[in-house]
Amino acid sequence: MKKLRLLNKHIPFKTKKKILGVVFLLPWLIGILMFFIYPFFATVWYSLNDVKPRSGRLEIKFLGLDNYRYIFEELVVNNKTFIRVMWESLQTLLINLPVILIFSLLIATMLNSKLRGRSLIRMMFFIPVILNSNIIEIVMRGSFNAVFSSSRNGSILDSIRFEEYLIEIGIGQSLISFLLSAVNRILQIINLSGVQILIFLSAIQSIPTQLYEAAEIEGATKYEIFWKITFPLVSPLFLTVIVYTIVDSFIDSPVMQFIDYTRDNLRYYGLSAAISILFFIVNMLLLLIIFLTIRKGVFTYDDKR
Amino acid sequence: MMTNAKKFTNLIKNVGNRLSSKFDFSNPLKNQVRLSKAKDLMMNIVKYIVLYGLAFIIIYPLIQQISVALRHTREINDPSVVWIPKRFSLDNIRLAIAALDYWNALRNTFVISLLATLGQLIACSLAGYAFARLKSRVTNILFIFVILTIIVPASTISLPQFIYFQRIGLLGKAYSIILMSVLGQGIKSGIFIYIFRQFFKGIPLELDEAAEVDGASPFQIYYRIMLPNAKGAIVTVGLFAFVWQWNDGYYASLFLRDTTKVLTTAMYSIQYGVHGHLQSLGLWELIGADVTKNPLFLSMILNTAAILIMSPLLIMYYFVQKLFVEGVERTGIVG
Repeated sequence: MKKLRLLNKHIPFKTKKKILGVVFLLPWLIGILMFFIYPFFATVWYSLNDVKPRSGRLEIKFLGLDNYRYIFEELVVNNKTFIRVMWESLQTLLINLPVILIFSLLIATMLNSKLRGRSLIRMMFFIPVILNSNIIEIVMRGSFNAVFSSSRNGSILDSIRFEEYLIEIGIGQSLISFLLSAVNRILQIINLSGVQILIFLSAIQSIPTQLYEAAEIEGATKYEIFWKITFPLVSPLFLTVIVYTIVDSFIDSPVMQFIDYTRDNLRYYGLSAAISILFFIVNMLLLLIIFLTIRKGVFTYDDKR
Repeated sequence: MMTNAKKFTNLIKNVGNRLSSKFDFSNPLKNQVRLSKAKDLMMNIVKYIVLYGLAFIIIYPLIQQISVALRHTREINDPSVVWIPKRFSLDNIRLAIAALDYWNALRNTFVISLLATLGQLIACSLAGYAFARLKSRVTNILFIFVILTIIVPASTISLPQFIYFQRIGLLGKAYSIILMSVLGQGIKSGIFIYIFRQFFKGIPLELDEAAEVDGASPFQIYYRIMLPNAKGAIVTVGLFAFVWQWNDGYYASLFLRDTTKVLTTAMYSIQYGVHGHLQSLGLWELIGADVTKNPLFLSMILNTAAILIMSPLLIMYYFVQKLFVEGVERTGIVG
């Protein structure tokens, strides 16, 4: 014991701190080894094998890259399911991402400004965060619509009329489909952007009030204040929000359902693992591309601490 | 008389002058002020319309669902009933409670969510503190893994996790989910660690230094200085962890199976088998064939079940929302 204490004294404070850093991380470190790194490499290993469940045990037969070859031949060249599903989820993401980004920033700015009944409105806007649940969404979309479409015209009909109206005005077909997909998704967008609104709101509130006061004395309009102060100071958070949105969209993506389907229903564990590894690589590349393009265009503080 | 007439003309002149100065568009400075005021007014109108409109969109399906849940079973496709049911009845709720095995599932969900939240708070705040203040080359490399846990989808690694739990005999037990949370690998733990790290970074370094000079160890600094100053982060993370655990169906259906019923898995299982459930409970015959033959009856029960799952969260949210909104604002999730 005494020796230990002596040893302790010889270590300089800084290195002691570094060692303690790892000690503080210990629970998380055990967790990540048990529940993240091991499962991840196990999945990589499964993807190189033919894995079948048999009487509670897994039967593993080494295949090499056969699973990946199968995906490439069957799902990419012949059937094109994989490419189509990937492309569709990418498309949804590319439509949703800018909408969510602009929407959540706008709403956050509005929620931050002076408003009658602000606390009530704020409470309502965070309800989707509270109720953001897969199961409730399924029920709302499916059975719940069935209850009302029988007694009343659903919103689908309204958007068809809206479409006719737009065609009469003379707006191009592709633009209409873009607009409509945005309009039809408004509830979905609200549901998806709850956390993003929170992030932007806390960012806006961390902007020093002196800046706004100075701008008001100079006679700037709210419009100008938004573009000259709020927007540039919030822009570093675009990266956080974009990454969060993309990651969030992966979870709901049809590819994910496809992976679960091949695993739970078809019981092709190896194949499902291979698809999920491919999906992960595609996601990483996408995030990397977006990260590198956005990092340059955004105003950043130097985080020295 | 004369003076009165003079007064009158003067009055008119005054009013005229005032009006003309009000509608005098020759002064460019005043025009600018007017323009900016008009712009602000427009912005305000747009703001109110958008915010109240969207709040309505959010609230609308909720109210509709509650209205459906309180409806009498015979009024399902009565077109004259829009909002307020003609006959209130708690039959739907009673049936949904029976089908979900509600009280049992509610207790399980509550206990699991609470313990998982506590675990997440401890593990993530410890890790966040290490990443924020006890930096070294090792922790910097390890932080990449935090980002990776955020990015890698749960489905990618869930099968080996499942097999692992099967091997150590925790499958079907609530401990599986709680263990993951305590070890910082619960639902969205990566994000929570990130939030804690950002928040701890925002606490002035001088506080630490003062404590260090007084001889406090890093653990004392964490416990006595960091945590009391991070109430906002604790509230935010605690609420998110609780709510996301409550709503989680993926891990619950995978690890808890049918042995430990929680609300979400109960919902999944009745989604395709309300008939069977109610029949096995002996309730089917009591309802009456004219009602049960209606295809909408099923969706009505499901809808009511969804409300039953949501309502405890909504009630809790009502009580903590002030804490929540303020807490979030001070959290500094900000980068």
